[in-house]
Amino acid sequence: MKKLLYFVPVLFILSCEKIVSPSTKPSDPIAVFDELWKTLDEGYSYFDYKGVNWDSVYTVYRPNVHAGMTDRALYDVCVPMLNTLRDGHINLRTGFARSYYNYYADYPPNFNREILERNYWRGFEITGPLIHTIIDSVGYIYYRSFASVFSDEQLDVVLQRFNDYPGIRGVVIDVRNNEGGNPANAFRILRRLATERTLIYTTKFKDGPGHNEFTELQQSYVDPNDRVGFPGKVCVLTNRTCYSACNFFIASAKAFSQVTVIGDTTGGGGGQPVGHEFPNGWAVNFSGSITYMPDGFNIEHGVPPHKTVALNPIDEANGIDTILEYAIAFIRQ
Amino acid sequence: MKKHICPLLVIVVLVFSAYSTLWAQDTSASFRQRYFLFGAGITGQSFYDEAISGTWYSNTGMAPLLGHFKIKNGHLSQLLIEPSFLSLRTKESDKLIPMRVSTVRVVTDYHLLYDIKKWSKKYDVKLGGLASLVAEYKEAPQLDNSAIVYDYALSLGVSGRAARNVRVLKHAAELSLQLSMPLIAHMTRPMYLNRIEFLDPENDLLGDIFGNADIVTLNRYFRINSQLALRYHLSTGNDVRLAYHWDFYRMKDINRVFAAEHMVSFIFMFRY
Repeated sequence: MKKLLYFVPVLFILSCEKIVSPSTKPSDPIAVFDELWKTLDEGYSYFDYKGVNWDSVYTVYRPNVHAGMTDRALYDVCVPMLNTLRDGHINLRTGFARSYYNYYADYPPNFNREILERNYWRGFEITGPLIHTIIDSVGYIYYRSFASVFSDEQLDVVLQRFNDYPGIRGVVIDVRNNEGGNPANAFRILRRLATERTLIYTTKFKDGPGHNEFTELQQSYVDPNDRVGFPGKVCVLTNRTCYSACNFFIASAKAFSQVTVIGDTTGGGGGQPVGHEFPNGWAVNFSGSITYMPDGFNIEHGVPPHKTVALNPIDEANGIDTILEYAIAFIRQ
Repeated sequence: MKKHICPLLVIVVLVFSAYSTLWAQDTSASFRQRYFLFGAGITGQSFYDEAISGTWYSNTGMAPLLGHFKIKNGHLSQLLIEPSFLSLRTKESDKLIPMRVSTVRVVTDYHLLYDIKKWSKKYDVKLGGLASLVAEYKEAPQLDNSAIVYDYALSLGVSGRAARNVRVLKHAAELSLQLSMPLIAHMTRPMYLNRIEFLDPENDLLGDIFGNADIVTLNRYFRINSQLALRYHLSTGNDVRLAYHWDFYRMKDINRVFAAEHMVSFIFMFRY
């Protein structure tokens, strides 16, 4: 029986994975700051496009970090550093706060929901997350967030309603103030716009730590499906709060000839957000790709509309949505 | 085509294992023992995955065990499948900073061992091969679109087992120590920044996962697996097996992952 004990030391030796594995990285303020800077240095996709010298940024902010500083003090150093990249896809998540770069703050809102509700949406219906009605023989859909999932069947209901309406002239898709979400919801709409396989954009992804290490450009296509389509012309309404998946939706929608984008340039957000977690539990997400429209236009800083129309303050005071009125008139021409 | 090779390989290995352990018919009157294995274990898992964070995640839970065990003329084969579903966390995890990763892990090991020249009258020593599948799917929602992380390795390697008969509580039993180590593997880990290309309407998740796959050896996939087991013979002809398993692997691709599992298992061995 004693010989059985020979097994025991063998077992313990073999079970010591800690001997051959790394220890948890340090989580002091200096280590976290350095790892944050390095994570962006090796992963962020827009340094060259935005002309940001990330090494210089380090020399500006690093002296403000010292051992023993509080989490709040470290956060107050890190966030201004991240904001030098002017990117709404960059968020530092610390548990007590999540940073947010306000990409639309310097632009007019071009959206007034109260006017819509009072003067345009009376009698509206809601199918899934889609608010819809018919205004002067023009179908109208308001979609607040691409994070809100709808099914093909729900979209069928909305589009069938428009198709069944006598004398329908077209459809307005209002995505103003839509800050993005899941691109899969955008694809669901785009497939109804497609009549043939259509190139919507090209994307290159970060593929290594160098600022210029990317994959080859990868083309993305939308194929039509055989479900209910959009009747007539389609106008898409945008403003500066249209961001991320909404930005991709607008860039894609412009690939279809029957679509006219009306309003303001979108807010941008052309990178696929990726993330990293630090040993103290903080996490950061940031853009890890670059997307171009088929003509080579970089969509990071927004997609311009076909027709730039602003919400006129006088109209607004009189309860009129200038952008929606323009779209309805455009479709009815 | 490349992305289809991996699932095909998995299927081939598993079908071969099932066939060779379950359905290979013995026409001779030779000594043969065949068992179905059903059991469960208390598993403690941990990992350090640079695709997520430079910190250790760990937790414990229960895992079922299914398999087949056969001894014929001194040759031994065993297929053991261990799926587990855990939510791992770090020591720093709290309500404000969740630091949680949900995992689905499936480990399938097939051992085929042969008698070697007797080294000792007391010890029964066998050596042979190992076919193994380690697949772990991790979801770390704090990483936004980098949330999906995975380890996969389909491997071939060597395995050895030493056993001796003992008496426990005046009953016959067998004590064994088994060690296994893959030598070559078909392995994949996430792409740079855990990229999943869902900006593309035609994105194929399986294609993304296996798009980075490669044939590797010990320097990029190192796994060692040990099991100390006490097999207790019941009067019904069935057996029970109490075992301690230790499993460790390290994968190195764009970044590294270190993962370990400690498990205490209790398995019923139904002879047929």
